[in-house]
Amino acid sequence: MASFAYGADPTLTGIDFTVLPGQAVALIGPNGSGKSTLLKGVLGLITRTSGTIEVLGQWPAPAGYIGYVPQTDQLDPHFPISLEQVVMMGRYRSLGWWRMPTKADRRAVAEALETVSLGDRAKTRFGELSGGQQQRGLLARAVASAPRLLLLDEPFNGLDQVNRDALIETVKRLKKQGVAVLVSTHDLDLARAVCECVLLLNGAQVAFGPRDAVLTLANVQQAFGSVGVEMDEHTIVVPGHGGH
Amino acid sequence: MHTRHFAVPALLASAALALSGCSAETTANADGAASDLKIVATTTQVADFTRNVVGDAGGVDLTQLIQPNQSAHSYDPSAADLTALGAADVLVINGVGLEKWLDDAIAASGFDGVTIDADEGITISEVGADEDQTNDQHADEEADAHADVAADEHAHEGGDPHIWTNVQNAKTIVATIVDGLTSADAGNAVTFESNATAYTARLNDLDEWIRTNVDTVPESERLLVSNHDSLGYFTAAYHIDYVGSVIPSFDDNAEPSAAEIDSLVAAITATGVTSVFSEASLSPKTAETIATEAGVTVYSGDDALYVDSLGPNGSAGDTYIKAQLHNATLMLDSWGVTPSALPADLQ
Amino acid sequence: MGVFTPLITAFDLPFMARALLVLVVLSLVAGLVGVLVNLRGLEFISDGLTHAVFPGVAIGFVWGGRDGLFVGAMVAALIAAVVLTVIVKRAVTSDAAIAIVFTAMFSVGIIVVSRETDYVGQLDALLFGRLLTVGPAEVNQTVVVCLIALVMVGFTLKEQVFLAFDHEGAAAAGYRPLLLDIVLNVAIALVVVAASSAVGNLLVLAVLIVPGAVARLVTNRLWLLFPVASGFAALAAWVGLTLGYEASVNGGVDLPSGATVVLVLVAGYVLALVVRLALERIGGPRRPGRTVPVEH
Repeated sequence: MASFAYGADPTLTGIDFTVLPGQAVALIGPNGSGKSTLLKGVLGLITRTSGTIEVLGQWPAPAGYIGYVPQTDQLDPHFPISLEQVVMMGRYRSLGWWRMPTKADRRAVAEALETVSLGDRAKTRFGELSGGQQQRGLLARAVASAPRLLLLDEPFNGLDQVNRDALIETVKRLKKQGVAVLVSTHDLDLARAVCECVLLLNGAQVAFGPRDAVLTLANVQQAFGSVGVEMDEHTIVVPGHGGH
Repeated sequence: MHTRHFAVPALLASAALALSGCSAETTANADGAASDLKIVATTTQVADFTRNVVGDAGGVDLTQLIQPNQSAHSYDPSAADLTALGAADVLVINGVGLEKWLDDAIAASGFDGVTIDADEGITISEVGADEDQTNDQHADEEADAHADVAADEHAHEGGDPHIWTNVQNAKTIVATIVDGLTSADAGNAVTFESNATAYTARLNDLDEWIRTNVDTVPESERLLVSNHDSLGYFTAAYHIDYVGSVIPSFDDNAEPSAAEIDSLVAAITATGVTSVFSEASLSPKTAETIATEAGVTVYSGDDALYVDSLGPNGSAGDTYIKAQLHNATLMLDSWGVTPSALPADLQ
Repeated sequence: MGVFTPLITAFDLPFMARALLVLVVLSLVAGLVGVLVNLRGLEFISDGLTHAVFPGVAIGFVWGGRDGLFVGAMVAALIAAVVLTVIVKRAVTSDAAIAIVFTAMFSVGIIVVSRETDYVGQLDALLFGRLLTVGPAEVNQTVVVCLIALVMVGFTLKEQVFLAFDHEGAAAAGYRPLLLDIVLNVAIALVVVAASSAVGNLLVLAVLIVPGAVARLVTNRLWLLFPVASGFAALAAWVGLTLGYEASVNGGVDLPSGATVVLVLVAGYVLALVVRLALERIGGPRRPGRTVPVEH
């Protein structure tokens, strides 16, 4: 059982779950339920007030074990950097200080870009890409770092169907390579497409287990704190809530 | 990411170092022709003395660094000044720590000529005002403060640098300059010496005239308040009682505190001073405030004293002699004395 | 040729060559650091650092004269850089609090200097610099300090860019943002120290900020930003020094060298801005790139 905090008081408690290599866990919960907190906790960016975490049996996770795909709206769209250069950042850790990228690094970047079908946009300035392309670019950066565990924070936000499909394909391919995936989302399509397990959150862990066992209306209503919540094949409908 | 971009700054750096290194080696040593004597003088006063010694001697070039009404304390040499200094054979300075910027300027310009230090052979006083002022506690405190400073520095550095205000000192300075210039340019020695003799005669007349006229005032009435404590050699020479300065320091740009203003106003009222003098090179504002508070006359504008700097060309203080006459005349005026006619060679 | 001759000949004089050397070395490092300042939006912190260094300069000067000045500046710069980094990190204070702390430190510096007998002259030199009378020893100090800053930033350059682009991503990748922040802020502080004796404390900020801003206007290519900023700063230094020299020697107008160089820097920025705006008008808004605002 682990708890996480930004300051003194834990914002997320009672977390107890496992994600296995080649599997994916969806983090589902209303805004402010602790999805991003959990991701940051796994990254070691915020304080863990109690409990233990292990990534492949180790903590802290060795450098390069975890790949992280943040939300693109946190990035400055005017930053003078090309897509290729962003993806290269995924190689920095293995490069080390001061060293320049080698041919192998360039090849890894090109392959990562192909994986997300953005090979032709390598030289484009990152801020000029569409939201979905940026999201895929950040995924490519994570891919280029060859992670064992991949964390995605709301990767479907603002994406059109083409980009969603491309993203889902990439995540599936990574899982086949044995990568463990943790993805926070509002989107049940994504959960159904790639996730074996679901972790329902609302400031604390509501339920964890196989997707269909956890995603019951009662569990979802408990997590979202409202009896008005409805659920269909694709999405959770929360009254007065704009998200997917 | 492109590997080569990282290397660019380093390359530029080494290129720039090489470039600058080259130009530094090809330093122009503009000594010029052997007959030319290039003189640089720092303050307006030593430049005026030097100008009088040089007169119309041939092949002599004089550059004055500090311009009229510019402060010697905060002077910043320009590129032209440094160029002139670098090319100079002789440098005439006031000394007594007045030109604090000078060491840097000399090092920067590459000057390697002879320096004539005007303070040579002059008795430097440790404080600005003369010692027989006992009625002014404020000045005593200042004196103590400065004495402390003087104690742990080179003797001259802590002293009062305004040596030229005593005409007798001016004569010594002229003698020092003549010595220096004749050894630097033997060809013009005769001219320099005869010029100096004539000029020293005028300085004697100046001293005589000031002394005669000041002596008509009873010593107890010879009271002076001025902008900053810079007239110590003058007041000592003519037995004038320096009551206090508007600015509580040798420096010409400090500001008095409210308490300092109050104590000066009290001193003015207690001693019966009738006037406060401003200086031409400084802002008259504080002096005017104090004069108003103490209910006395303020001498400012055209009637300000020329102390730190001589006046610009065409002003009443554009030479040392004219400036001294101007200052003495105004002081006499403040004591209610009409000065006697000037001797012919001073007019 | 005639008009451009002084660009070479003026630097035959040793003091002009030294001034150029100091400024070129400074330009290289300030360009590099300045681009990072721009990308990270650290203009305000840079301003804080210039203020914070001042009391160190003043206390050092009073305590040990010219040599003490350098030591004092270094000590103040290093302390300020680390303290500032931690304050910003903890986010316990607002911008206003930082501004208050550092203007207070600046006042302390002025009070310390004002206790000196000859304070106006010294204050002038500290605030506005005395570029032309920089001595050989100061040249060495400047070069060494600049090299240290260069190594610090050069060693962490790609990581600094990563952090600037994606703070969380860099932290997630295992970098210690606090460590990188301290490295960068210390490098900024070193540039402030090195530049203070040349262009003066008040104008250091321009040297740190303008080249980076110009580079942002000129190019969107990441690794071009650094050489453009450094090159632009060095060019401005060269032209500014020449201009000041010509005005003084042949025009009889004494322009303070440090301020002239800074004005040329700013003129270059305005020129780059005008050209950029004109190009955008002609070429249409192809790039949604905003024009980069410069603080101060």
